[in-house]
Amino acid sequence: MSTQADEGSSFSLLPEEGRQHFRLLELPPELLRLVVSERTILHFKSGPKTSEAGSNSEAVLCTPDKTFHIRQVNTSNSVYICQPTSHNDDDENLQPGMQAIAQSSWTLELSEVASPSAAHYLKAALSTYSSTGIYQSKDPPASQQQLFDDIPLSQAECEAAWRDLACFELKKKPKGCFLPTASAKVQVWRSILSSAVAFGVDKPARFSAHQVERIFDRNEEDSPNELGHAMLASVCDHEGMLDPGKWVRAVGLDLLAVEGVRGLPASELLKKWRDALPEQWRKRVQVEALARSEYTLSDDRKMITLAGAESGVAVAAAETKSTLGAKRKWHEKFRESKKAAK
Amino acid sequence: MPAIALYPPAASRTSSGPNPLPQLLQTPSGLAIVEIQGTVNSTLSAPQLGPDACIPLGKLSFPLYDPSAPAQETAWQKLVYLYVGRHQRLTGEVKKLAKPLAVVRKREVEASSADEGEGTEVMEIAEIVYYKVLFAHRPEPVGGGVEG
Repeated sequence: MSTQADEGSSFSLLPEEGRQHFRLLELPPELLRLVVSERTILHFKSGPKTSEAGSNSEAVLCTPDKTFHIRQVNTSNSVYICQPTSHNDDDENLQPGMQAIAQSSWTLELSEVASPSAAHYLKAALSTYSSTGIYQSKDPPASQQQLFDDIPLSQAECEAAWRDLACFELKKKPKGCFLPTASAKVQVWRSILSSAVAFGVDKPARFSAHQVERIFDRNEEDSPNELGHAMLASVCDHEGMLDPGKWVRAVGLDLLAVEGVRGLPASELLKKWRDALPEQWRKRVQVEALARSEYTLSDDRKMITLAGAESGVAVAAAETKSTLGAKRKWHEKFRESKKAAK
Repeated sequence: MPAIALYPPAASRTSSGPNPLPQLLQTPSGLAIVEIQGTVNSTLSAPQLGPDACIPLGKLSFPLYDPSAPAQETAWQKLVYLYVGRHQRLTGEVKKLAKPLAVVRKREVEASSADEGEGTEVMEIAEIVYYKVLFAHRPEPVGGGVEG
């Protein structure tokens, strides 16, 4: 008595208490290639635990250099993860079958983060190093990697922001990671220039990353060498060669951040800017060398103001506050940056 | 919070036993995905359950599948039956996933690496699945001994 139901292989379900725990994760083509062909290890990351109910802000999946948002998509269907099994039939013959060993009611979907920037997170998390000294606001001090662990972005994206902001880590006292303020950086830009002139290495043929490093080695000033090296790295290309465009822009932006919070005449900014640069780069100085998002022009383009100057004021004010004040500000600052990052 | 590593599928993964599925649905580890629109409610009592208290749902059948047919022959994918008990049948099909699914699980931490400290949770991709069997229709009644 053959029936249709006798055909096919058995299909059974493990009871819920015996099931394994799996999650289903959709792999976009790029991730599929990394995982299958290059056997890359990926990383789940999330932001720091927020105080509210210990919930994580957002979970992401990172490749070494890219970040994907994770979205949990529920399904009303019963999705079973099955594996081959075998059982004895009535005649004691071993029959292969399939057994559901897990059920998943949701799938994780990934979407690439459009314009990742770790800068907000670093600015929110780091103690600032100002021109008048260091404000210690973290206890115990976090290492660079500990900081990166709390940033829901890939390692390369964290490193890029770290480099661009000229952040630096001090291994000795005062231990910790620091974000230099614009005024601290302007001081260093100027001291690099004056040292270069003094040592006669400011001319085009001689002004190089190597020479700037030598200047730091002879540094007798208060600012830590780590800051100088971090600033140098922020204006170098991938091969460690000075990038004049980056240098010019960095100096201009730092000057604007120091002087332009409440606005200043553009001509005045350009003059100070030129004066802070080696001679051969001074002709590059023009407002357009800055990114359009970094400044606003007013009064028939005669006045220039740092973009987002309101927050600039807040940052400047926070700098002058005591350790305790900086600590209190921390959560507010982070919440803002979180919103901005979305 | 430290990042949690997600390891790629182990190259050495193997299936636990003979795989009854068509070649297309077989994966190195044997893991496969079967999706049913709806839920399974069992009224079986303990003596009726299989080993490990598993619920013997029924039989999975690919009536048009011919193992000797060339791989580019795909018509069989349109028809899959899942017989539930003796009297019901679900009709489904094999679906290629638009985006393959990684089946992710917690990795067993070996004793040697356990001293890395608590909180070093490690995940791994047990398998990457490219096809699923989807039963998106209502069950139809079938007679016990009658041709379905």
